[in-house]
Amino acid sequence: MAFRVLLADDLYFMRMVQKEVLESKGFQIVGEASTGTEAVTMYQELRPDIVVLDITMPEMNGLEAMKRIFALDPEAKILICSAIGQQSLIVDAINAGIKDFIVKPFKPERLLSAINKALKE
Amino acid sequence: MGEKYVVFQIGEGNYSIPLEEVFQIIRYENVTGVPTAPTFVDGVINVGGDVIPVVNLRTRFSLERGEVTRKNRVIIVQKQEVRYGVLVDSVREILDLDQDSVASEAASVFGMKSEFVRGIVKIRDYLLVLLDIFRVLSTAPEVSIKE
Amino acid sequence: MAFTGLDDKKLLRAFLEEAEELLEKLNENLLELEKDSGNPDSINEVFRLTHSLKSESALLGFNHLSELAHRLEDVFDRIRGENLTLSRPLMDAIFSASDLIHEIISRISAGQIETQIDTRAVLGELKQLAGLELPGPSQQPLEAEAAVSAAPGSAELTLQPFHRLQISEALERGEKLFLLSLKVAEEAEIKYPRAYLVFNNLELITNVIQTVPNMTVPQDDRLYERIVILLSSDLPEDQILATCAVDLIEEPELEVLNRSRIDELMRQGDRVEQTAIRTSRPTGSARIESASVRVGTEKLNEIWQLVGELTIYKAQLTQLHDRLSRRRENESIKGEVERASDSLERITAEMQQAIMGTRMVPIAILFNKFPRLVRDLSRKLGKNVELEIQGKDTEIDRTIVEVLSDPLTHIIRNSLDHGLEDPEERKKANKPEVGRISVSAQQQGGKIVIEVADDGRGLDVAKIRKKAGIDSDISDEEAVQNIFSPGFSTKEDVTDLSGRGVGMDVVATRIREDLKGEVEVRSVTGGGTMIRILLPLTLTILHSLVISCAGYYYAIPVQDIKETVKVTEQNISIEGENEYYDYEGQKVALLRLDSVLLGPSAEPSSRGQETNGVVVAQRRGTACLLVDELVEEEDLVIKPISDLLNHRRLFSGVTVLGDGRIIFILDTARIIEIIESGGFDGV
Repeated sequence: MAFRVLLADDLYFMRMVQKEVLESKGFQIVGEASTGTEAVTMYQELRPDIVVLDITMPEMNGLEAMKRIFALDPEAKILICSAIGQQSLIVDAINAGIKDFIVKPFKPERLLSAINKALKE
Repeated sequence: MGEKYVVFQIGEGNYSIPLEEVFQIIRYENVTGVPTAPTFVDGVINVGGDVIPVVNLRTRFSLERGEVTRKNRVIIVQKQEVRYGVLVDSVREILDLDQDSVASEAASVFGMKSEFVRGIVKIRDYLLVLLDIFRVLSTAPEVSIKE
Repeated sequence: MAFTGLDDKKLLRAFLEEAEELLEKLNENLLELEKDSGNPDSINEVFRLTHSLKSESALLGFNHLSELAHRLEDVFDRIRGENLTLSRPLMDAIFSASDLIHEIISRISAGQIETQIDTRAVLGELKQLAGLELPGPSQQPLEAEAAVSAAPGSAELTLQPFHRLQISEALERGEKLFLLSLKVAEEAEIKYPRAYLVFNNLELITNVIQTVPNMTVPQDDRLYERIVILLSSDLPEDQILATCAVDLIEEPELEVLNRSRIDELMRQGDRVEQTAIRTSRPTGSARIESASVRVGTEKLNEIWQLVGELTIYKAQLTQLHDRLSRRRENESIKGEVERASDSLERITAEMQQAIMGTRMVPIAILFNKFPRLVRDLSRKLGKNVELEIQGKDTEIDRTIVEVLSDPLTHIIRNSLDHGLEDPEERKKANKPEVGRISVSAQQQGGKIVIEVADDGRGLDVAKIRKKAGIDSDISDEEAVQNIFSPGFSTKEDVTDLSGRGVGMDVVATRIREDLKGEVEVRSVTGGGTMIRILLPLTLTILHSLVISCAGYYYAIPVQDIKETVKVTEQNISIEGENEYYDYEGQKVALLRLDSVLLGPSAEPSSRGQETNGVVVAQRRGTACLLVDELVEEEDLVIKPISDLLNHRRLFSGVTVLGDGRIIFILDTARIIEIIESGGFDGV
């Protein structure tokens, strides 16, 4: 049974790349959100196995969305994408409970190994 | 085994404190008055960003205020992280003292109460009192240093 | 150099600059030699550097320093003459000497006396090792040990008394001690958050005692390539290792510490001097916990001094401008000077802010891990608990944060473990099923106040009294403070004392000794417990109003001020011996600051005219202070004030302005307190 993934990133191109990488390895992309609000709503409806979330989205940024998702589901598995200079945001996110983080621009292998490790638990 | 001491003068008396208790010795200038402090606190000075109270030892020893001369010095003493400035008439020299030659004195010397005196030594032509400066500095303002 | 006069300053500065450079090169070369002990270039370079250092420091009279450098020079002379091999012990001694040199130079640049550092031990060691060494098979050349020295070891941990107490506590609880070491993969673009992932996982299920490098206050990212963590736990090893199953974390190794290893670690903690992390950067003196912060702080202070000087030049420029503007002819020059002065002003202000900002961090850095901690731990314990956080933007000095992390976590853990009851018990006690813990921080009267409160069982006062052997004439409030007495919780069966007590004495020691703070507890049996920590502000910035009064300047924190007003005879009313000011229809106590600060003998400010009044408000009440002039509003860096200057405790701190003026900060809470209790009568 394939793992169900929710992608959240405001850039269409980014989502496209992630989708290709993940689908080629047998993951099922059940939804694509382009804002934080959408991410939360979609999480509620779709209840994916894991979320790949960009923390610099407009209209409710990723960090806020992440907190709301955790409020909905404390067991949620979230992987965040961040830029290099966002060290303290990442630490905040870790404190809130994310499984792992990926730094942009990332290599496909990184996304895969992070998601695989996160889903193993 | 010798230990180094800083020798200074207050009035007629010669006193000393161990060099390792001394952080720095500076001229007596740029002192800001603090009207709310005890009378023997001349004021405060800024040393490297640190605000340090300056205690006028003459006043503390119940002597009359002396004239301010170019010989006055403020000896900045330090214990753990805390620093105080001590105003003296002049700094005489730095001596190497052999602990064996120091006599501990139970009776009062120069009219000072014995608890402030660590010992006395005869140096060439004067009598030197080894002072417990931190004891002096931490004694309540109302209590006199002299008998 | 006990009589540092201003004349020597320039010379000293030049020497220090060169010395720093020499030292950096020295360290680089020493590290090179550690990898390749036969490298002739490095050997020669070190010889040359130590020779220079020796001569220069001798010139300025720094004899200790010179001697040390001389000894090193000798050692390297013999090495390059092939009369001496660089063995491991010798290399260690050389590093010690180099660190000591660095320490001496730091002290000299901080204005201290060189002779305060004891160089005899290191000198002796060098002499012994260099004198007796003969090339032979009994030495272990460095290369063979290279592999071993590359791995992080327990040699890098420095155990403070608080950590030792935690270790003993853990052992008594029957937990095992582990040393976990791991590496962050090279490809990881940022290492610290990677390591933090593991650290976070660990904290949730084990008791982390110490980490190298420090995890709560991030240091330079490069330092996080290798992490060593000392922790205690009663969980099986594989569960602990599972926390390292994080991407880009490599070579996790978990070592169970047996008794002799633990003893070794404890002993090692005594020799703080030798434990420096040797990475690819030159290190300063060896207090690792804040190694890079410490170097940073020194540099920051240097820059801070320079900014201070800048402020003076800025002031001079403004004066010049003023003088120019009085003369008609120089219109165009005036304009230029004005523009230059404005730019300078702006930049200086920005620099000041930037530097002050680097040392202060919001306490959120600590508080942020608590929600998860509470959530996970409460679920593990089967309790239903909600956490409330207030004042997380309160700023505190970085160095406080590092030290505060452990005790705070400990207090919260305790609350969850022992203070809060499970849902059943709470229902029986008619309490809401969801327990509450609140953590708050704020600045108050010159201190940082941190409170952790819960609505749990409260302390068992009777048991505390019995255990501490307290007489019945001591009140309950005082009796419970005994949980902070040293050794209070060590031997007793932990579960026997309901409420708190486990390890509180350890927490109190840490707060009192390391942070020079105070800690107190308040408890209601059956109702809950509140722990309050008071910390002195070592460095804080207060936006303040500077006022003048009888020729002296004082500052009042703007946060205490309601309004500044003009007071005339009409607004003042007298009742008995007290004066009141009519403020917005209400009578507010009026205080003439000159008589408060200078005594009743001070010249009273002329009445009948308009005077400046500052209305200040605190929880206890409101008052109107009469002053002479309202001078300016400024961001002031507040420093603690010596008791000698503050026996009436009217001041909450003191500050030094850029131009060197010293100003005291009024403690308005205290002033209002005195008014309320009638303390200023007739004054």
